[in-house]
Amino acid sequence: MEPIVEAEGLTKRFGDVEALAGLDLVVPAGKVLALLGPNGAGKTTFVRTIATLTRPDAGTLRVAGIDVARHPHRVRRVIGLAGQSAAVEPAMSGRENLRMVARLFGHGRRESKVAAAAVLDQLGLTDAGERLVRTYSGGMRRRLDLGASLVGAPRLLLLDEPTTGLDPRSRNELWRAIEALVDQGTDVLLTTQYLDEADRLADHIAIIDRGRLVAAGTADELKSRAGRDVIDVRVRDAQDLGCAAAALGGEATVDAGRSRVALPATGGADELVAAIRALDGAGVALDDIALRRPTLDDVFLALTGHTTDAETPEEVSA
Amino acid sequence: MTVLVPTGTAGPLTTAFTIAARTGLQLARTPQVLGIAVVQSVLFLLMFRYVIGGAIGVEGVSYVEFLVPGFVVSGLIFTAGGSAVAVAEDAASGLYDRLRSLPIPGIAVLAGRALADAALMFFVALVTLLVGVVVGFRFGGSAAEALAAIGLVAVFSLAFAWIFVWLGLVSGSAQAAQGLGILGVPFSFLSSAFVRSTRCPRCSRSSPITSRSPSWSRRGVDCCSGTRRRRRSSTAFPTT
Repeated sequence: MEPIVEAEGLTKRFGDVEALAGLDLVVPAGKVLALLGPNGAGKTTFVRTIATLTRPDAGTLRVAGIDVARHPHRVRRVIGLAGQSAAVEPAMSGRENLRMVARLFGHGRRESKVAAAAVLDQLGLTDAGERLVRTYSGGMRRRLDLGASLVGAPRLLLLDEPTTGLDPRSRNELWRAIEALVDQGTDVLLTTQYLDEADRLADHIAIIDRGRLVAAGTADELKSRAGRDVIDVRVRDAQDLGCAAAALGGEATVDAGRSRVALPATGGADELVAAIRALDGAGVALDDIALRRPTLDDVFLALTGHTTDAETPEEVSA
Repeated sequence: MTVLVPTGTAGPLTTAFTIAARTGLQLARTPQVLGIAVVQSVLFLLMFRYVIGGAIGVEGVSYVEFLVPGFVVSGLIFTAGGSAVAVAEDAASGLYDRLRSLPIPGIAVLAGRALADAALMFFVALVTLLVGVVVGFRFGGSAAEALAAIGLVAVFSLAFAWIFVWLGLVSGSAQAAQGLGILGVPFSFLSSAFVRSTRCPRCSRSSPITSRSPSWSRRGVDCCSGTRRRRRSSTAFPTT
């Protein structure tokens, strides 16, 4: 199948800042791609370029095979955009907002009504449909904004930092809404600073930093590129810590405070089995033992040399 | 329920009317905006009529006859400032990003916005004119001439609406747009709507706003009040 997005050598400067510095990226159709990167990495510029809002200085970009520079109008029939802020009208009801955007997407009057009702239902907003948006919570506004990008049934949904600034509960609601869309077969390209968000929602993750692609692949692929797994052991009796470390060998490190021993593992599950045997042989009683994969935070650090600099969502909501 | 792919696209008319309807709903649901615009315009009119007007003499015609037509036209600026602010707010909310990502003609979006704002401005101007009649203004010409004058106010409303929509787009923030809107007000005092231009300082007498302006103040004054003045006094409206 034709890729939904193909970028080649995409470049965009704003004065001295090179927002996109020759970005090459192919997004296969039928997938959810998370564009992961710190503030200023070029994520939003890339999304705006796909949405025909920003013209690249150089390079080519095709969306569903359509050249964005040559046929922006045709690209607009394929995409739906939900930007960083909720672009919904507070003085209109949720249903009115959706019907308005549905009309602009090209639906007739009757179809707009049907599409608005379907989207309200899909996002769990039917009960609030007649209420003015000014009475909505922040999370509800974001969901409605997501809905507004959906009433035209776009092939590709662009979500620019969809959950930034939301409290954890609203974030979870929005995640579930996005997951439901994905189940229905909409292609999604989302940007995020949050590694857990990329991990949860996306099939493919592209890490970009300073306008360039740093790495791309599935979450698992990226994690295995970043480094080795870790075997986490929690002993029942803290006195066994030294004994457990000795049984596991030289590379094991002891975290006395939490009664844990950690062992870097390269051999996957086989090594876990070996570790269990060794500990059993040494007569150490265990509370828990697990093979832990490195987190995307570890990956980001390993690939870019710096952390994501993102605030955690908990800090944002505080 | 699933959402179907739209079969057509929205043309310029559908787009403009959809956007205009949105602005109309906004105004209807936030009646303060319209209320404040009307109160402001009427207050200014009454202020000039009863407070400041006493100190301004115009020969050959009572001040209320001189003031109302010019004020109705230049008063459009007072109302139009609000539309620049609203446009800047829309831009900040990301609304125009969404609209520009839709398969609709961009100019129709602005046309819809300008149409709704012009309707608001025209309405405020009509109320102001009505209050003007209550406090002593009379149309001097025929009914057809009066209607033509009112029609011209409608055309002016649309012209101003476009200018202020543009100001709202380029201002960058709602605050800046508000500042730009207020900036227009002192310039309206340079027009011959409030004081006869022959009594202004020489420099402003020959300024483009008083004497050579092709667009607004003088023509508006001419159109709305000139018919009567021409009959009453040939010197009421000296050409400069």
